[in-house]
Amino acid sequence: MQSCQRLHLAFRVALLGIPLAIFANVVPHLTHAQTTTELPQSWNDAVAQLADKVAATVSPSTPIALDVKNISSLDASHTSAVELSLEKQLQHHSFDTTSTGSAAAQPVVQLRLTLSESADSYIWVIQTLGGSESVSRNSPVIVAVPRSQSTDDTAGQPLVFLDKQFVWKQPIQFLDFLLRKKPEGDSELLILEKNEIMIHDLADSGSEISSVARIPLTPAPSRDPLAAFDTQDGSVLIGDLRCFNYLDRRQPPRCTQAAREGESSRLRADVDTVVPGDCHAKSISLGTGDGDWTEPDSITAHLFKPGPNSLGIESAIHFDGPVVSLQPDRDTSSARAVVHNLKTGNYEAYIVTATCSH
Amino acid sequence: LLRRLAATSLAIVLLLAVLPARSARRPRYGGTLRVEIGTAVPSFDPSAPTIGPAQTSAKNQIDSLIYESRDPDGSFNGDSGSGPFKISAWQPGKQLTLLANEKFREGRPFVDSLEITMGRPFGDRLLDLELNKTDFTDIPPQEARHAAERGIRISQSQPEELLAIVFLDARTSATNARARDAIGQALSLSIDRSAIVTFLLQKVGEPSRALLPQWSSGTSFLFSTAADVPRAKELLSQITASPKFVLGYDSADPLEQSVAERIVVNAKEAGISLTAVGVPATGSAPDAASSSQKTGAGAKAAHAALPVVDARLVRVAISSSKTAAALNELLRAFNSIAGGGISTTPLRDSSSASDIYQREREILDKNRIIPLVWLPQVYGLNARVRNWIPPLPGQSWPLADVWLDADDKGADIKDRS
Repeated sequence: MQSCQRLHLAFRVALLGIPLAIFANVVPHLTHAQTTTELPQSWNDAVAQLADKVAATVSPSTPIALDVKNISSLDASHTSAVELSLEKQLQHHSFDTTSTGSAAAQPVVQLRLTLSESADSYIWVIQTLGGSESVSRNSPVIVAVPRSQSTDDTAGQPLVFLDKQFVWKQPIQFLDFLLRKKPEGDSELLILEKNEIMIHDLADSGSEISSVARIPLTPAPSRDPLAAFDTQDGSVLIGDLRCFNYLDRRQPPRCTQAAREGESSRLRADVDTVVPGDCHAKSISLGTGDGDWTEPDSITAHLFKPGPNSLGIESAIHFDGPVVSLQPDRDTSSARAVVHNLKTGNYEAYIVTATCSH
Repeated sequence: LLRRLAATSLAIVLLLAVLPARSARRPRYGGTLRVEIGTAVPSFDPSAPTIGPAQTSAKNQIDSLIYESRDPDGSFNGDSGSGPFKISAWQPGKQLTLLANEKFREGRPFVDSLEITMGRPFGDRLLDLELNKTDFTDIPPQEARHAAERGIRISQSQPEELLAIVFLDARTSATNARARDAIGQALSLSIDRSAIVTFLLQKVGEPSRALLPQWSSGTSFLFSTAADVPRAKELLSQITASPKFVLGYDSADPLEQSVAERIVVNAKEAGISLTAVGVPATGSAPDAASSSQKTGAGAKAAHAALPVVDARLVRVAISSSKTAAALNELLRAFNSIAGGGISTTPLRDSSSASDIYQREREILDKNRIIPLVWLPQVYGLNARVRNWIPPLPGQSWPLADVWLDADDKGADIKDRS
């Protein structure tokens, strides 16, 4: 009977202990989760690097106490997030971490993480302190961490945003367009059609046509004409021809064979381009879908570095028809897109702008 | 309808009343910016020699106003007058008047002219600022707090000049090298850097045992600045006899003098026999000290009157905001001052923070250089001076970007007329 009562008591203690244990395990995590700030990937990498270097010099069987000191411009939430991330990384290396001053454990090694910053970046330093705080047992572990904390390599958030701005539409096919300011201050829109360039003088409102000028061109006949304005030298590429002075109405354009290697490759059949500027030290590439010209299309932005390591699609915008031309602007992270709207039959001009999220 | 008209008119009047007030914050062209400096510059010819680092620095500031650009090696490009200003009147060493260059490639300066008065003592410059007789002057860091308490508008840069002790190899015999090493370490441990900053510099500056300022490297905090006299005594006990050391300082620099005297007190507490000797800033030192002036690194060495000086108190400024480049430049300057023996192998610009720290540690462990304090550049400004941003290391005073607020009480008579 006595043993039965003991068993009963033990059972009740165990029953009480289970929720307590669950509570003890869950509550700290909930608290962390409520206060934790998401760290950029590069910061997590830096924390992992620090933990790896600690693991290389300190035995995991040694209890450690972690002390964090922030002397940088990082705010409290990011400081806590870095501390939590380091604790997790150290636990991943089988370290028994305990907070400073804990009576439960007797820490043998004290780690001090100092969050500092230099002229260029955050500097995170781990010192392994001995008996006295001022005595470092080993050389400090130092990592430089980029200051950008919002979206640098952050998973789940696009790094590039695309925006499209409608410019022009007409039923007649055109291959490219150019919107530019005239010296007098008004704008003009150049529409590159198959055989001619049309110049639309735009009124101040930007939507009214005040006059139209046509400049005939004589490209080689083609069922799939390829032509584009080259904003770098002010010429127009039409197939294998590079034509200058196309805005001089007194005489025909002066055209030469586009003989330089790679020059005509600008007019390749693939509708994609790289726009000027970079984003998080990577180039921005714009591409279109792989369907034919009977299907709706989209323009997608990719970030890439030289080589095959494309980072995938960052952002996309959709159109009611194929994108038949995509040409980069010279000065901005924008491109000129010509879309054949399958619903209306019109050809439409858009400025597509890639904005880097800093 | 009348009420509506009246209300509309009132709104327009109020708007018009507000607009001028807002536009007054916009940059304004015109006026004469009056500058006073303590140094007299005899010539602005880029090839003309200068005497002492203060004169070199002042000449560089003025040359940057009248020459188009400056190469990384410090030489100026273009003809006189191709910069933002051109010379209008010039009394060598006394007064310089510059006019705005209307054709400057980066745009005409906001002010019409600059009047630079040279060789003006600090007390007079401070008084002129108080009396609105000048617009801009440099202020010794130890006087910054005093000036601020007198109501002077103060602008302060990041710490960019290191006050340090350098042991001179040329003056140390080989037999004393070990003793000097121990004494160097003991001396560094004995110095109360916080007291220097708190009392002598009136809390302007950053106590440091690092070769780079904290804002630049981010690792300066790893070099503890706390004095440790017991440890210094322990080190001294390990050498048989503590030799007498002489510390030279620039006798024309009151800050160096007061710091040197303080160091002597600290050293005595630790049992180090050290005496401080004022030496002329110019002239006599034929060795490393004189060559230090030619480093172009802003080195300001207190030139020793010779063999008796074993170490020198020096002020060395960095002229790059890039960490590795700044360290390279400092080491070249210190090596020149010390007469060799300090590694000057340059770090690459892309060196990691860890590499830069390791280099600092490696140099400092040799105890040839004892960093003390990082000092900022301090400027006194008239209230009417707008758009002033303290220059970064190596940059010139951006006086072409400054404009004058004519409505301010500090406007001078010329502007009002």
